[in-house]
Amino acid sequence: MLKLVYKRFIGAMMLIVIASVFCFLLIAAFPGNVALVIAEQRSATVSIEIVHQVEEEYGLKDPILVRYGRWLGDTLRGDLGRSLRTGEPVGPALLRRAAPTFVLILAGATVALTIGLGFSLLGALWPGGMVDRGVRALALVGASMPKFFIAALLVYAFGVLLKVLPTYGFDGPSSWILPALAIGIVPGALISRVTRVALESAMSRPYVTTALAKGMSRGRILVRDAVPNVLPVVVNAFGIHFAFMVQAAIVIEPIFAWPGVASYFVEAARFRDYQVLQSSLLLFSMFFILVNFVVDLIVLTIDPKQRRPRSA
Amino acid sequence: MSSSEALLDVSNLDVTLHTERATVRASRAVTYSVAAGRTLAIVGESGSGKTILNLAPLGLLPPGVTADITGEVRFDGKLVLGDGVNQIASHRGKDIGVIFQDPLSALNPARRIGSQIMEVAEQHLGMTARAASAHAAELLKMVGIPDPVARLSQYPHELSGGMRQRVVIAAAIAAEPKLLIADEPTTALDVTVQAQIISLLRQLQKRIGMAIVLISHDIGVVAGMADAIAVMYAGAIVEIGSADDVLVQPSHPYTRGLLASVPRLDTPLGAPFRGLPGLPPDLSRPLKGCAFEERCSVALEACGSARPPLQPVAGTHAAACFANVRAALAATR
Amino acid sequence: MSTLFRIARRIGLPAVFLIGFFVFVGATAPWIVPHDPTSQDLMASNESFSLEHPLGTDHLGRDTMSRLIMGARTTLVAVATVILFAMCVGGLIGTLSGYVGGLVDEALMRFVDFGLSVPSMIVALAVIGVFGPGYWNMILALTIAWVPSYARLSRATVAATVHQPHIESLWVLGASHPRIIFRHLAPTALSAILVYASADAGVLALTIATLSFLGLGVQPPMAEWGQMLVDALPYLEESPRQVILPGLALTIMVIGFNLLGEGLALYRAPRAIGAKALERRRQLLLREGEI
Ligand SMILES: Nc1ncnc2c1ncn2[C@@H]1O[C@H](COP(=O)(O)OP(=O)(O)O)[C@@H](O)[C@H]1O
Ligand SMILES: [Mg+2]
Repeated sequence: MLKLVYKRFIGAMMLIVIASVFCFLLIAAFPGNVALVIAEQRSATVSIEIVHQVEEEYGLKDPILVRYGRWLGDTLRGDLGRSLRTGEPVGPALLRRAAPTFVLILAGATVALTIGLGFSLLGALWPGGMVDRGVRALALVGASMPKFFIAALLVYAFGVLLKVLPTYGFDGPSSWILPALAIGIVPGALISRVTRVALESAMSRPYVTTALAKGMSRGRILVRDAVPNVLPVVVNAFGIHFAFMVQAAIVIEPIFAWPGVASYFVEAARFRDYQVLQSSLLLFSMFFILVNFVVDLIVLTIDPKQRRPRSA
Repeated sequence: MSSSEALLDVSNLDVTLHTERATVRASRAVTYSVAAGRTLAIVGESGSGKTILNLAPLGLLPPGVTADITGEVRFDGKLVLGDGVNQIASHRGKDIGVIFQDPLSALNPARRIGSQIMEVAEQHLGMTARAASAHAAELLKMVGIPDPVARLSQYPHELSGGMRQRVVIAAAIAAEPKLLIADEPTTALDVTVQAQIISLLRQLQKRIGMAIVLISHDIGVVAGMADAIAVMYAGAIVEIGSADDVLVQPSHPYTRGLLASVPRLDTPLGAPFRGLPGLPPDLSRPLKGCAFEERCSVALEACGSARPPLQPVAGTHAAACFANVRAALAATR
Repeated sequence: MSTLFRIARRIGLPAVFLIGFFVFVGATAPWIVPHDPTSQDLMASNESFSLEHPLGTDHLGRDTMSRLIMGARTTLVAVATVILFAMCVGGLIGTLSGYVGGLVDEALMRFVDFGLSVPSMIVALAVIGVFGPGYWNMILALTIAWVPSYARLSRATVAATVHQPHIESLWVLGASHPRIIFRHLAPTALSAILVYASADAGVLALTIATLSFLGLGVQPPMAEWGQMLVDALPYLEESPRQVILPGLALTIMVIGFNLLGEGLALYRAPRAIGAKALERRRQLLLREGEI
């Protein structure tokens, strides 16, 4: 068990190293490109002199390993440079914008988990019945909708027609409801589909025949026999979708004028602000790797095969 | 064979399985009965319909299979299946216990052994969790598992194959059923463990007084334990009678083939294996004559066009073979 | 009953019908649009349903129905292009990795692992951030983002088949490496990849729409659903149908891809017999009498 944790930890560390290389290379592999864009942002008329000047200033002519070392050192010290567009230091800006994104993701995760577990259990209780078919159809539609469309429909229904909920801004719990729904419905539907399939396959295993032979009811078998077996699947799916909500936040934050990291990232991509792009990409990667690591640990602890070594 | 004291009385049972791909006549016109406290062995090659015959009426079908079942089943004097009645499922776990071929897949890998036994006692004996836990420990001791209390909190993968099968048995007899259906209980186990499990079943039978239907493809495994033997081929019983009659005077060429293929202690090592040549027929195709005709060394002309009925050989001993009829005719002449 | 129909029914008629419909519309789009999807008419902006414009017009007076139809073409072409590129590159990396094994495999798969742990749209956005927006940059970005999953998938398939007796015997027979890879391994990987791709196409369609929604994917004047939706968003209150129609079109297409993926994945899985077929079998048994 400890050995496995150690192995996973080493794996996560390696991924972080790869992430740093990737984030660095993404920008550094195109030095001419970088210098040109920076030069463009400096002055309206770009001359070769300005480009050279920029290359000099940012040390873009140095050997790549030297540049990687310098970048890594700066990053480790917490110096993420300044935004090319606004000149604002990137580190503090990311820190300030992390909180709203985190709120959005947590609220979305609650929505997703409620929908995911509720739908799949409801369906599995009476497989093939009206409820099952209805819930499956809903989950299929939910899983197939673009998130910006869901967001637009929510805004239209609750903001325009009913006028009961605020449709933009990060301003207290009532302003969280629509963004949380917009970001949580799709992963909820996806988790429900995965869980439903896993439950169905668990319910066709021989141990279910044994339980039936012991005179147990279907509902009881579902809860006591099938659920423990699909738990690792659910945790995994939830972990993946939890991490992937950062991606969803990229569309949701701009729609609801949410001052988070994700909208910062889109702005950077839109204006080719390399400094911000690189730093936020690194931040995201660390977040994904961390979530994956934690999910692995949870799955390790809930899988009885891993919990105790085989005796005898 | 049906008699008033029979615990289980099956008559004319037909099971047809429908899947998307095929329709299979898994058992046809099967009739047998089991007396209380006695053992009926059902033997036959794999695929002959032993499992389906016993589990389909209990509602324990493989996933994705639809079954049409006709015929009658009486349990403990009551009609439980047939004539519009279908109550046999309500006896599952309570009066009828079942144990399965593969003890690893039969146990839930994600649940502790204790809770998998306890739930039977809780459900059918109305025990509290505490009482059920004590009962489960008792059962584990009864099936010969050392240190039972510690085992309750273990998971199936922590046990060896033989121990797992003992756990499955413990769960099946937790409510002291009147009938235990043991479907190939030793097939997935090592040879040395097989004998232990069979002797455990005999011991438990004496102690609880339950009847056992012992299913096996290996007539050698059941020979020592069975009171009666039914031999199945292609979904039908081809020979049935007391164990002594069937083993000593096998009256169907298929039974003789099965007996001949059992390795004996006095067979020299390296002697050619005398299994039955050929394969059983495909049960999804129509069959005109005797299902065994193609593999039979004594087949007659009639065997290809008509199905031989089960006919008494002597007393309760019966076999379905035209060659017997002819021999009997010849003897009287 | 023709074989084609039987295959379609096994995959699922709704899936085949939906995808068939979109593919037909997409393929014939330039010839079936009632109006030029790019021609503006500011006098007739945000119009409601009419005979002239069956689904109304957008804020620039462009015919919505024509734009929806062209949008299907845009999406399908982009999806097919990215899948084709990612399949080739990823399939090659994966086959190589699974075939060579050892250190090469280890190194390649580390990068693939990283690629898989980062959501594809973030990778795509990062690439677009470097190269700038535009149609072909979007295709490049999505290809880069989609390569890891195809590499992982084909590696798994190849690794599972490479040690099978019939492949090992080819070794012994002295078949050349490229021959083993292209004639024997790649085809096995391909069928697994196709099943995956059909389910994945839905995700890809959504990502393309999302990038375009953000203004970083398909650029005007090309008609695209995500872009149509974002253009109509400011007019949500007065003409919500301009938002709802492209959203609905995309949702239905993705439902089709999801159903198709499911149907293909379960194509060989055993299923319970349907009620009608069951009745037929029973009748047949009765008629034949004893079988
Ligand atoms: N899951 C299943 N799907 C389709 N047919 C089955 C299934 N299980 C059993 N059968 C059919 O039922 C017949 C009897 O099988 P079974 O009772 O398992 O035989 P046995 O237990 O004697 O080995 C076989 O011919 C087999 O083809
Ligand atoms: Mg069997």
